Amino acid sequence: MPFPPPGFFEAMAEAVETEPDRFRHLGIASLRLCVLVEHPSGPPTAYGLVLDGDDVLPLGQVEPSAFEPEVTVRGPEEVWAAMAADAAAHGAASGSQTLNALTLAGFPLAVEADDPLGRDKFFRYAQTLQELFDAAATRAAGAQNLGRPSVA
Amino acid sequence: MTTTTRPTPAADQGYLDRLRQGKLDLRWLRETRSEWGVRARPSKVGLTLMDIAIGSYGEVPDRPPRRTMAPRGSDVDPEVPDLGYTINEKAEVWSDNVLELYEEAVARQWSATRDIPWRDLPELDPDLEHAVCQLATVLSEVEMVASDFPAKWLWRINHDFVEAKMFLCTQIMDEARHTEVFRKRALANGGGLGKASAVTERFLQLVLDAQSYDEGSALMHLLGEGIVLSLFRAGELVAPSAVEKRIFRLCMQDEARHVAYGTMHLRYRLERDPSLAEDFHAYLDRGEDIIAALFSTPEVVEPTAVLAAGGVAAASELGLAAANVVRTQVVEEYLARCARAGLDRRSRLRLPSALLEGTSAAVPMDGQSTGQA
Repeated sequence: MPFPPPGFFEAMAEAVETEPDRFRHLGIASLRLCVLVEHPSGPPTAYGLVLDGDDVLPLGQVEPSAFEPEVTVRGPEEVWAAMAADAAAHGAASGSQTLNALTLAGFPLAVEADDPLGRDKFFRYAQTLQELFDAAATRAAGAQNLGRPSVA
Repeated sequence: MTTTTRPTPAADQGYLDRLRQGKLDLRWLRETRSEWGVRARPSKVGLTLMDIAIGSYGEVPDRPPRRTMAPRGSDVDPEVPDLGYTINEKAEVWSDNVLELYEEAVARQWSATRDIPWRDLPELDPDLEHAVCQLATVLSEVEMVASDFPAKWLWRINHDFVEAKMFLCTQIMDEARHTEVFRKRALANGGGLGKASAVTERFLQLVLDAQSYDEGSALMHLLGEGIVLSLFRAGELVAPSAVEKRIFRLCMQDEARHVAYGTMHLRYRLERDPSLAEDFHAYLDRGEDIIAALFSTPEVVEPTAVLAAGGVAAASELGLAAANVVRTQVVEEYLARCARAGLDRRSRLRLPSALLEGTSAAVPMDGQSTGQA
């Protein structure tokens, strides 16, 4: 299964827009996050995500050196895809499929940052990020099931 | 017992007489010598501390001229009493990220009563329930020191550093909530509280008995909370249900803020006085000795191993392997934060070599093991 499914990161912004109380309750954040997807062949694909106050800005594919992320989460496409599938199936990531669980040991996903404060930001916004990824996974899966090219 | 009698302000009868005659004083209106015409503009999320750090109001003196609660930037009556603050140097408490961290802390508060889906707690195998309750006992025990320590020092900090004091107030509330949420978890599913160990208490005593804010902050913000942050991460991984996962993630967020303050505070302190590095090394030497003892305490180590393995039977193999991975992360993250703060601990780590296996501190440049048993 490819990752990200169509509209995955855009669905995060839509979730914040359509469920403002849920995400406002989690509080403001300030983060430049790069999601790096390693494919079975070919170069990895980087996606930029900016958390700015109450807003979430998906930047789509980015060049990491130009995007200058505070933290990068890197891992194989199949791991990202399994995470999204689990969240879509359960409504939220379960068991060892949460972002924290997948990154804790440095594998199968790794948290990388030039600055340890950037790395710690991944933990400072742990619940926000988890709920954003959960929402994106369920919305993207719902859109795919409806046969739409992207989430509504 | 002797008591100190301080002069109490007497009512200004002359002013009261003039007031009765309709004569207002109005010197506060006409003669106040503070900055007028400053108009702070709210940013996207509202009016933040960063937004109001403008003009003279945003200037935090390195050494305030007074020891009063007068708001920084106000026109201070020369007859204000000396309130006796003992922390009067900005570098003793400041960090460059403290305004942002305060705003974030206030915006990211949560309720241990309402934000945890307590009714969704599943019935657990008794050994797993025991393990969760023991972990909750340790965490409920250690978290309150991170309220007690800043509370002990807060009233000694000069009011001109009010943003740092406000941040410490948020930490006090955060840690009270952590104590609350783990106490609630221990009591919510039929298990109850477990064992409180002497080793844990000795670390808390070290923090509480710190002779200076420098010492206590290094021990608590950098060492203790850094390790607890890693414990929260591990707790989220091994948590038996979504309820505990949410608890650990929410606590993790708060703890990471405190660590961010501690790291940048130490950096601020050392940049202005590098000669203090040896003092901080000495504080952390003592702290690491006790942390090493904590890592060899069954009540601390084994619950996580049992939860990781899904039961007691496999805990000695699978669970301890997982615990080793977590411990490696703990040490690496701690060393990285120390380095960011300007303190190289790689060559001075006091943790036993058995705990350093697999970390970058295990074999230093000269090939000698640095761990001290």
